[in-house]
Amino acid sequence: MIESRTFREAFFRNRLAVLGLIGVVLIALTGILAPILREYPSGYGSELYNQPSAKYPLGSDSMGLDIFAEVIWGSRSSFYISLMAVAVASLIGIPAGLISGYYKGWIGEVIDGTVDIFLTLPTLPLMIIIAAVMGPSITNVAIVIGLLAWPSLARITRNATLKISEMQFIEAARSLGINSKAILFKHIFLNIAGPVLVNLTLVMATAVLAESGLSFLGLGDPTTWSWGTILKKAWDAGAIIDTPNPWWWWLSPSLFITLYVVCFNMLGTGINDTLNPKNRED
Amino acid sequence: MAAYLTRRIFKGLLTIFASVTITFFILRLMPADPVALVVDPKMGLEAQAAMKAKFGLDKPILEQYAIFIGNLIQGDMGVSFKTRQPVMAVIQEKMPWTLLLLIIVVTLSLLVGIPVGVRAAKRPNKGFDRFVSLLTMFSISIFIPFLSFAFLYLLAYYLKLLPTGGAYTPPPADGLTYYKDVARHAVLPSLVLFINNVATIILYTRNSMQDVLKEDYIRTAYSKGWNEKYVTRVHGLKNALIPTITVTGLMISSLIGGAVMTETVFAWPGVGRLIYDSVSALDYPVLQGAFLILSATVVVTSILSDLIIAWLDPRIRLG
Amino acid sequence: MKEAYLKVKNLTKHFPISNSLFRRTGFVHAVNQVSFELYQSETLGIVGESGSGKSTLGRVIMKLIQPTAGEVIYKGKNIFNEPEATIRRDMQMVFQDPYASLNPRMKVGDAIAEPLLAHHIVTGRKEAREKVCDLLHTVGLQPEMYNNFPHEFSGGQRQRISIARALGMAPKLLVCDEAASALDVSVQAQILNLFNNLKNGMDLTYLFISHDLAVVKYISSRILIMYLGEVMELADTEELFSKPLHPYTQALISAIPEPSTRRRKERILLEGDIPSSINLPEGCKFQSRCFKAMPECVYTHPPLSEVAPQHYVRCLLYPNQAGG
Repeated sequence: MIESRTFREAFFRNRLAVLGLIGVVLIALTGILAPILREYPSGYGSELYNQPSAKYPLGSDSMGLDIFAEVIWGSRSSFYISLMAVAVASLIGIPAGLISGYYKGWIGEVIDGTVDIFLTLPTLPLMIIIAAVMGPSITNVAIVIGLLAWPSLARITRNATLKISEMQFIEAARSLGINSKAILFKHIFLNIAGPVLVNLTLVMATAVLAESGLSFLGLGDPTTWSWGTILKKAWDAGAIIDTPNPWWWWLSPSLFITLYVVCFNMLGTGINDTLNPKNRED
Repeated sequence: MAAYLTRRIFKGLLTIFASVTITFFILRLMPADPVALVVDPKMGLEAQAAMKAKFGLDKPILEQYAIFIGNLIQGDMGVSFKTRQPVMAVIQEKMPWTLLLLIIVVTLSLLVGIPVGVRAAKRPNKGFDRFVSLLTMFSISIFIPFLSFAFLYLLAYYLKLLPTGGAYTPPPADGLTYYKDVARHAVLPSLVLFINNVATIILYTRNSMQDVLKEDYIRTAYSKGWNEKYVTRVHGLKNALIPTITVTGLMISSLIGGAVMTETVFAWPGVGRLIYDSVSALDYPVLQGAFLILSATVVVTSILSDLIIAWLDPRIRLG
Repeated sequence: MKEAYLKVKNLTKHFPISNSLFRRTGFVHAVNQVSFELYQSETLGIVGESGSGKSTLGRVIMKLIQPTAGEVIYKGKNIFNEPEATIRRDMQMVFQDPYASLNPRMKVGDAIAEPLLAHHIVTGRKEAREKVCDLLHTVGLQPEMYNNFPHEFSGGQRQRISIARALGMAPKLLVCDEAASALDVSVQAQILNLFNNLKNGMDLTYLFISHDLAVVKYISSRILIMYLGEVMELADTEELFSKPLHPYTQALISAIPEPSTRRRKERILLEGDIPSSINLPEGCKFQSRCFKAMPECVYTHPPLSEVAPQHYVRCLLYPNQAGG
């Protein structure tokens, strides 16, 4: 176990992690500053299918809208959805994992059994159905993704909790009369924060993949720009295999999705490597 | 062993039941009137009444659920709202196409993924391993429609080498020409799914092989004078493949239903595409049936992979 | 006769072992029908090999584990029927492993302050800080160490921190579970001296659990010998060392290394390990390793009898003298 100061030092020495962090921060900033950077793209533009140029850095689409602006507003949606999904997943998954790992009686068994069943449910088809039921809104999509991400988070939290709750300082805290709530949410949580954090970065990454997938299948929010929505429009307009062939239309949102996921994965791998220095061999 | 199997099967049935129940209630929340969907105005009044009665669509939801479960136990999954065919027939028609993709993808992923993973594990953090790590990170991170678009653009649009979608050129030809045609159509969806899945196989094989090679018995084998090839192949691989088998099981389960996006982009007539079309058409008996098949596949593959693992590793005793 | 501070009556703890959810395959008999009295201001040493159930006994008395049967009477009441709060402050425990008994992610000052705040012994951050500094001083540490993390301390220092944390509750009874065993010999002596000083200064009663008879001899006024969950012998320290009765006690005493140039007295070597406590022998639990075993030891379970005033032993060699 490492203290926070040494963790920070080790983390910043890990090139992969720092690169991931920079990418994540840049995308987050783009999303937050979207209203300042570009006007919200809506209505119709006059210049259709413009190649990337000074006026349209990433070209324009079949409605004559600036794809650069769409991508920027898309990163805003992506970041919002990731955060919401992580919040929903954490709110259910972390307490569920802590409780099932600490109270080994029937309550732990019940939670763990539920997690087992949820883990075997086919995620994407279920997401499609729930998204269809809940109706297309960006917040609904985020909630659906969070609802299907909590079991894996609960499982990881539980495994870490099982390990920590066997340790003597937990028994010591009990013998000092510290109540279970404080033991769970302070003593144990402080010590499992690492693996949980790694899993949260993964949830952030998969949330964007899931949102893009749902939007691409037409189950996203048609009134909000997201990278998946842009791709859906490009696909519906036949931008990939028909002529005229505006390759820039589908390429830039795709690259942004990939960049976002790669950055979060690098960040997660970096944190993980920093937490387990044994895994590093160089 | 028998006790273990009984318990696993019991748990599996419980999982299937839970999955079916969850989807039943989610589907009934869909914003559409099932009566209007199931009853065809062209049908005779008697036939309409019979249909309503059979599905109990005029009854409260809990009763509908009881009827649904009753029918299910008798093997009746209902009738598609869209095509009026029995759900079983609809799924049976789509399943072979999904299985075809699945077999190609799983076989290729294992054939490529295991050797690459083993080679990367032998010299950790050296050139080949780093290259493979980078590649796998990208292929796991990639968005399936993006990959599909890139291939479609390059191979179908630009080079005009391959068809852009579907499973065959209609009308289906006869004999060998038909098979060749299907093979040409299967190349792109298989390629996309392969790239997305092989990374997982490489990653798991590499990590577990790395762990196994650090074990004492591997050092013992070296000290007995066996050469490196023999040690990795005989002593290492058998133990290292255990996580790979588990992950292959998960991969099969996810390919059965999770290929929705690939099948949608390439208009491949499999189960994934069926799920997408059924959501658009609010055809929930078909969705319900597809989910039943999916959860059954998940349960069966996980039991099978556990059995294979137990057979490979005598240390694991199922009991 | 001294006043009994704590009475342990027929305390029993069995752990079920099961290898599946529904089938129970047996029990570990960790503590079996243990009875003794703890007197005010004494130090009772509990000695046994690992697996003898001594740590389980300490935890059951601390109410960290629920017993299978039996009672612990404290202030006239069975603690297992009372709410947690009745004993939490009066009884405290110091654990074996100083590296594991402190939360690695908490500053040591906060770790000491936490129970003080939880029990409203102090109110507010400032008062807590003052009290913590006092406590650190009491156990021989610098108050400036408040903001350090556990990994910055040595084993002995950490054990002092654990002791300070327990003392903050102003306990009457301190259960020390192998509290000095994980330390180097020189540090061990310092910690034992600290225990002795605290006892005199604060009128503490100790339950001192250890596998090391030499350590227990140094600190205890009475000693209880445990084997496979049962009390084998219980006597005043001097009495036990001058007249050890049970063959097991004799073997343990002969195994203590003596710093002497004289030719050593003959050592009694015990053969084998402590048997598994899952399937216990029917008669005397020690018979499989006893060098004085008799045929009847195999099937007769000896009772614990008072063979001399305040000297109890569980062995067929000694017929019950005091009780008649």
